[in-house]
Amino acid sequence: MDNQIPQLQEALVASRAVLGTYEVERAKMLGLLQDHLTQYLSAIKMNLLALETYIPVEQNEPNQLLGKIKGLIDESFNGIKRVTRFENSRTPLNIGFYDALNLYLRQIDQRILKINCFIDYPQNAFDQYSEMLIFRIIQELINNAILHSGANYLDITVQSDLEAISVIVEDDGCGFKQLNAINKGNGIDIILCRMVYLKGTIEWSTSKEGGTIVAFHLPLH
Amino acid sequence: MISNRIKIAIVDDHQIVIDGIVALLNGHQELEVVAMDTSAQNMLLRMADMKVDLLLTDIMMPEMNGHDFATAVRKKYPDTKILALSMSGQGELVDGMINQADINGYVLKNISKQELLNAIQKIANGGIYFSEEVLNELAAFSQTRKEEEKVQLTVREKEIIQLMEKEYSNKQIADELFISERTVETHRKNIFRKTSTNSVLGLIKYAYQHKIIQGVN
Repeated sequence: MDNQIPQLQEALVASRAVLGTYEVERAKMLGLLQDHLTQYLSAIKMNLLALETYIPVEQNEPNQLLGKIKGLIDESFNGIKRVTRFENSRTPLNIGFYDALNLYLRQIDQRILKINCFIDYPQNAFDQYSEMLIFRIIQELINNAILHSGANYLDITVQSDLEAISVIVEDDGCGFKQLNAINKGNGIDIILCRMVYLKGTIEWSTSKEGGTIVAFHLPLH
Repeated sequence: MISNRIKIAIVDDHQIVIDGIVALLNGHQELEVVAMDTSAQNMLLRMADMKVDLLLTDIMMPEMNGHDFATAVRKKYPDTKILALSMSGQGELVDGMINQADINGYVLKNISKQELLNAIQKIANGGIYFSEEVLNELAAFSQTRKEEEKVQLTVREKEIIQLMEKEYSNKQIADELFISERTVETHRKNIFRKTSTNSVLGLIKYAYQHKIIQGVN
């Protein structure tokens, strides 16, 4: 067993390096989308709008074509906004788990999904990479509730004691079975992978009225 | 020659966006672009030597963000009107720009030509202008802030209270609901916290009072 300790430590260091790289790449992609592509799109649109004034109103065909191009630009612009809507460069890696989760929740329109959240998380209970993974799991569960389950209400609890951090996310949507049937790739595989790294346990269940409840428990080392 | 043209300064860290705005405003005799800069700090210095009626500024800029820039402009050049032009209309961002930086308007960068011209005219004439999408985001943000801390038990929590009332142990509740004892324990702590009770008896009393458990007639 003692012989395995250096190997396990090496594996842990390698895993953290992969996680760090993944987050850096994610931030880069986000920056590229938000800061470059959308700026180019708006510049293209502004130039097109300027060009529009040179096309006589009676020339139907060029005007129609211009209208089509403007529509496509707007569609691309809105598509990027949808994808990056709740993405934020402020994550547990730079502002800690508690602040990152609160910030993320504040960005969600309560008219679309009302969220009740309670966070009892002692500072630095986990290292920043583990905090990042916990954050991503909760983010994934919220995304499922918003995008696929048709929920109106979401209840999030992060509770700690001396042994573990426990998280429960409950929604009032269509339920796990139906959710799974609608959308096979709803991130469960990725959640399970993250759970393996965190050495935790996770369970899905459905309430009497059909909502999904996900509970996971992460031992404190 | 129109003497009372609206003097506009533009700040955006992307030159292509500045060029786009200039192209868009080109040909409108009532408007005059007097300065453009990719640096907010530079513009802050340059504005000392010229009269700017309206400043069109980006929000997300690397060296000095739009919030700090607008706050500084408001302080140093209080007569200059500020119109924020951004990719993001997130409520929190807009709220900060209005309440702390005291801007006069906020529009998104995919704005139409007519809307931008309307916004400029309205603000230059002493009004304010916020595009519809921005107002929606702002309303959503205000609602989130106003949200009161109300006790809202979830369906699962109510199920657990009903089983607790039947004197089920954590193990029995776990078996009944196909979940782990650890999860039951987390739910219990949460239920006690939400209802501000600290004993099963107190909780059951609360549950009857709030009709979570119906009495037998």
